[in-house]
Amino acid sequence: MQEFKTYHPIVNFFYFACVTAITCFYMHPVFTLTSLVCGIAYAVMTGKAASARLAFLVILPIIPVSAVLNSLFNHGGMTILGYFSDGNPLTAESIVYGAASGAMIAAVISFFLSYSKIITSDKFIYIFGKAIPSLSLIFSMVINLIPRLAKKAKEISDGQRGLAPNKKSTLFSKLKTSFRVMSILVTWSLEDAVDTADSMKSRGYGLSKRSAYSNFVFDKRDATVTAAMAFLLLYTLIGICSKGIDYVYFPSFKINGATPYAVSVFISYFLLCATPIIIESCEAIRWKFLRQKI
Amino acid sequence: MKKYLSAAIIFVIAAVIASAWFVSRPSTVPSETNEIPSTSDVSIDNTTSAEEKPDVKGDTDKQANSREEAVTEPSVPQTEQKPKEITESANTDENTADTHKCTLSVRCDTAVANISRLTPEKAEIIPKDGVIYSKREVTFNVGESVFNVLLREMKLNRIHFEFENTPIYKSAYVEGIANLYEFDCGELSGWVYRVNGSFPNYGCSKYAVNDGDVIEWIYTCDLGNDVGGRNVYTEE
Repeated sequence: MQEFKTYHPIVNFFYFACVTAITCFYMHPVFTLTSLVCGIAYAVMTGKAASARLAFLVILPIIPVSAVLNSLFNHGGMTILGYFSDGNPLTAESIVYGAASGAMIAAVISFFLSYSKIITSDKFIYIFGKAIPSLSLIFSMVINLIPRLAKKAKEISDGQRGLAPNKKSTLFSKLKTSFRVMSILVTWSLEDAVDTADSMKSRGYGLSKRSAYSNFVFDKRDATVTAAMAFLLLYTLIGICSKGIDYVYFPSFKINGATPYAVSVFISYFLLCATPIIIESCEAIRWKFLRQKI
Repeated sequence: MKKYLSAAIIFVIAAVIASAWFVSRPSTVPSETNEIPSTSDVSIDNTTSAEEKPDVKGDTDKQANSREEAVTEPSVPQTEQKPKEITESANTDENTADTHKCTLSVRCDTAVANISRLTPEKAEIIPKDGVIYSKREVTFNVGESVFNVLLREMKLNRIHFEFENTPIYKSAYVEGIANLYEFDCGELSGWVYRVNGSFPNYGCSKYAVNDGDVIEWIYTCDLGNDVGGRNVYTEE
């Protein structure tokens, strides 16, 4: 179920750029809900159980937390539900807005869960290596930093445990060991950074005349998907800019009625968000047919 | 040498935390007698400064001048009332308000006049005649401030009302009434209050209401200039 990953990096990046940008900058509740559903569905598809656990234990609870926090600090809105002890009102609009912004954050985080699975650092460097060589290298290293450090820390602590297997573990000794692991980790990461820099320099990374080998070919399949996504994006953007769909959170919550045009814009945004899911499903169905033929 | 490293790191972290704690702790020097030194200090300071120089807002090099002006030049037809310290035990219970009466009104005529500067969704909700709370007599308790009166009346009439409370200065700032907020009608707009025809130069939570006071809450789009007030920028 990694069909979308085999597409050209530009297609992958175009998809994530579109959906995260629209999710961040356009807080229409229908759009936010679409992004959230598609983002979590695709994150679970790419990341399996680990992503599902993260999505339901960490990402989705952001929504109620944000609703509560926003209603504590934001008191605008026409619908007064009650009063806080200090005298400020609790309004329905502030709760709705808090939930919507929480859903927006949750959607963006879930998009980035699948982003890290789909756009690996080699793809990122392929896209941006020519335009911004050093920045793209740094960015791909930063993205990779935490998982790498965690892996290395486990390695080091296993090694430390292997050195003194029968040691009594008091609180102080545990503390001492973890500080030693920390110290080794810091030393290693500094050395590794120097190594990486030297290595990239000696390979001639970032020199203008040097070419880099890559196995990515922009074929017909990529062109079709890019064209489809571009069309959907354009249709959605026209819908947003022409105010065919519109929303207001304060002072009273309002969205445009479900006119046929508005519904068509929602559908086009849903198709845009669900592009990789559709691709994966098509591929799964085709695979089933092929197996039936055998 | 290396085995002391962890101890050294612990020591450094502890030192940083301790120093941060010491820095962030409020100073305890003048607090021998007072329980809440900072609060009472500030409030006393506020009151005295307002009594001495009710006209000074800003320009520190003009302080002496403007104080003399206030004494020698009674061209301003407003009667300055000195702020009274609001007693802590002011009874703000809604049910026991007794015979003390004052008049309260809330209006937003300037916002209606400048309706083109409001966003469409705000322009929709403001009352077209500018009256959010029509002029009427309300009861209050001894020691209540203008703010207390407004808060209670807005609550009783279920009119939307948002304020910012800063307990350490015992000050409240009215941000919006009936969803008409500060800065909604241009960057110089907001809520001001007028008592008996004059604009007091201190916060509404400092002004103790007297019997028969006429309190008006007015929306301004130009720092008070459009409603007959004056401010530090126009007063020369």
